[in-house]
Amino acid sequence: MKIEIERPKPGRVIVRLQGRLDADTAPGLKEQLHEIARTGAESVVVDMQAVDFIDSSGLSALVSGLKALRQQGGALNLSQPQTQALTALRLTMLDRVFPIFTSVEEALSEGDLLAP
Amino acid sequence: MEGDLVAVFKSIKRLWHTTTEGGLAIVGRGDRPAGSVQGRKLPAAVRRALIEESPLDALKTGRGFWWVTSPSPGLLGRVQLIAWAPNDKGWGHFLQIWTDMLAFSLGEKAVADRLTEALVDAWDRLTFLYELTHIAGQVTELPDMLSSIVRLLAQVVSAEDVFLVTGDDSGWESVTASGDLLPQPAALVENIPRAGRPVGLAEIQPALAQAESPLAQVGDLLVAPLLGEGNLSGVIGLLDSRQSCFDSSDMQLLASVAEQVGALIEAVRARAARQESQRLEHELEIAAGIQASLLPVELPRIAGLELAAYLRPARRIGGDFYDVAEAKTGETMLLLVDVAGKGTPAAILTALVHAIFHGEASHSRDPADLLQVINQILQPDLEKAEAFVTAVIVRLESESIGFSYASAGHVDAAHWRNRDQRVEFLPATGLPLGIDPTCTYHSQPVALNPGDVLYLYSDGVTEAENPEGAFLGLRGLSDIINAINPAQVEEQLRIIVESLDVYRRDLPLRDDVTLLLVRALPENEVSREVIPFVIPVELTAISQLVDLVRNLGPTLPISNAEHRRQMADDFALALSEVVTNQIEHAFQGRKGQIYGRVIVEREQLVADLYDSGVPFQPSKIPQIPVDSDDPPERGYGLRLVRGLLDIFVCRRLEGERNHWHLVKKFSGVDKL
Repeated sequence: MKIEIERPKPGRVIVRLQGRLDADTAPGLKEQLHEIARTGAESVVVDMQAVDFIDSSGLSALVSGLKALRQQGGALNLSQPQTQALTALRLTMLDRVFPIFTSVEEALSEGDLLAP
Repeated sequence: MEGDLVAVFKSIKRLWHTTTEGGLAIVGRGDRPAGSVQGRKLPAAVRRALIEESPLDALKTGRGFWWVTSPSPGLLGRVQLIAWAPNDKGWGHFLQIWTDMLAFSLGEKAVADRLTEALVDAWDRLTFLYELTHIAGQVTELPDMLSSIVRLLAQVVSAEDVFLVTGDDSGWESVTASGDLLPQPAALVENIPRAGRPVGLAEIQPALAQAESPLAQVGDLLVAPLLGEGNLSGVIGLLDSRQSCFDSSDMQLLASVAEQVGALIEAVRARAARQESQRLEHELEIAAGIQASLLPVELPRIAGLELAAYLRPARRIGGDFYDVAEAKTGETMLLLVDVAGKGTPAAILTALVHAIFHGEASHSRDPADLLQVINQILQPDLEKAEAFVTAVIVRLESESIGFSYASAGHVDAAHWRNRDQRVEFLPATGLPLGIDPTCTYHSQPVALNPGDVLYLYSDGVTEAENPEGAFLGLRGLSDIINAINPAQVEEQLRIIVESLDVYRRDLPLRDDVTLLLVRALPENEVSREVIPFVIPVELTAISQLVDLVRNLGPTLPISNAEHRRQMADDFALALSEVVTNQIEHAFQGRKGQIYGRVIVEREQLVADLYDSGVPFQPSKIPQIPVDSDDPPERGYGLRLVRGLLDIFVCRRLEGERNHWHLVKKFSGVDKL
């Protein structure tokens, strides 16, 4: 799993994932999301376009990141999850928890609307 | 203090090598003007010295060279270094600093040891010689090396002759600077104190006189032991017809020289030993080739049966062996042999068994008779070799479905009884071969029904050892067999071998591993594909299973490609959740392995997983709705498994095993 972090402007963070988000790689993502929450981000977009497999550990890492960000008054949006990830999100009803967008730009501008 | 100097020199040399990939040596000491302080051209004097004293072609050709004198003198003067490197990136600057360090250390050493100039000079020159030969790694023949050492030493000391004695307990030979023969060199070696210091004539004379050595009559004698790794490899010494002509400085000089030469001889011998072991290795390779050629080129094709075999020696050549021959009445006879011991003697015995089995199988049709004959013929050889052999012979019946076997003290063969879905073990029916020439064996008939599998193997399988020191055992083998059926025989073999590797974890193979499998084909074989697997209890291993299932995607009997892919993805996710659960909950941090199989059927995907962890009852775990304002961080695995699968059960098997059964039906998609 490759994790790339981009900060297009202050308070906005794009986390681009590539590969498999499973029990082996999820702890790394969780740590990164918590680190981002600590530095105080308003809106984080996790780009899931290149995630070809996610399991419950991956979902747990996303939920953990979401909660950490919410505590700091931030938000976590998902962008372009693929079929396999959508199935996992739907079956766990997490599709009702995470705002899901069809592009990173859309997810980011949503953050702009919410920003004070 | 000498140690300090050597340490400083070594660390400088190491540093130089890591920085430049070149080499470095002390060429001299004192205020002699260097031929060139810095430059790429090697001074003529050094070039000459190199050509005379060392065959280092590399040093004579165009790489970067420096001959540097330390900028400031130590107490005994300046130090001169020669250094070389594949290129020049301004390394000369470092050399200036390092030679200064050396000059300083040399001064300290001299003060402490009261070394004479001659000693330092000789030490430097020998270090030079030693370092060159050492670095080059192309030490010439030992005799040439020893002659040049005595000649070199003779130039430095004022002695009529310099001698060197080397060899071992089978004989000692001398070389002298004068070319004269040294009388009775062995007497010197046998009487030298091995403490490592040189001794004078007074100390060794009584012993030499006792040994009636003419050396007891010389004017003066100094001799030092040559030690390498604590072993005495010879002596080096000075001889003179004048009485009491050697003093303490000669003694110190000899001590230094002896240390250098001892290390040099050790290095040369180690190299010779390496070459010898390479030669042996080559011979072993040939022997291994011969042994491999004794194995059957291919296994017989028998209607209704499938056969597969595997042999992996723990060392280059092994004591395990399997074979196939035709009985008098046309049936196939199988043999699996384990000769106690490994290496060449075991290999010779396996070749002998091979010859007897092939010679006798065609006269016999009963496994017990055949064992008896082999036992009688082998008896004298086994007695001489103080070895014994275990063997199992199986005759596959051509008419009815079944076999009969006889086992000479061999580890229990295993029989998978498909109808009962369990493993039965087939014990030995007599003593190992070579124990008792009059031993009688008996043959046991066994039915082989459709789906049944016979596993012949050597004890390298059941005695596979994990890092905790536990054997796989018959129990562990049962676990594997239980999980891999009803896969095809080649697949079963692959997973058994893989399971042994997983079980041993990082431990090397200690015993030969041999397997010979016979499977009676079931009638409905074509309608499904069985893929057995084994993984270690590690989260990192789960991705292998995900790959395995996803790779099945394109082969699923579903018409739409996208649906095939989704079906495989869903099943891979469910399987990985179950395995994650096994690893995190059933094993609770313990090591181990998980065996299982994935089955592709016409209407569904099935997986069975087996582990030896604590019991788990998924039905007892309640499913709480997810609160979208405060979603739980964990507990999504079971939710996924329930959502993805049509059937998911975990049952407890006897022997504290868990069996997980997963089914996903091809519903809502167009089947092929």
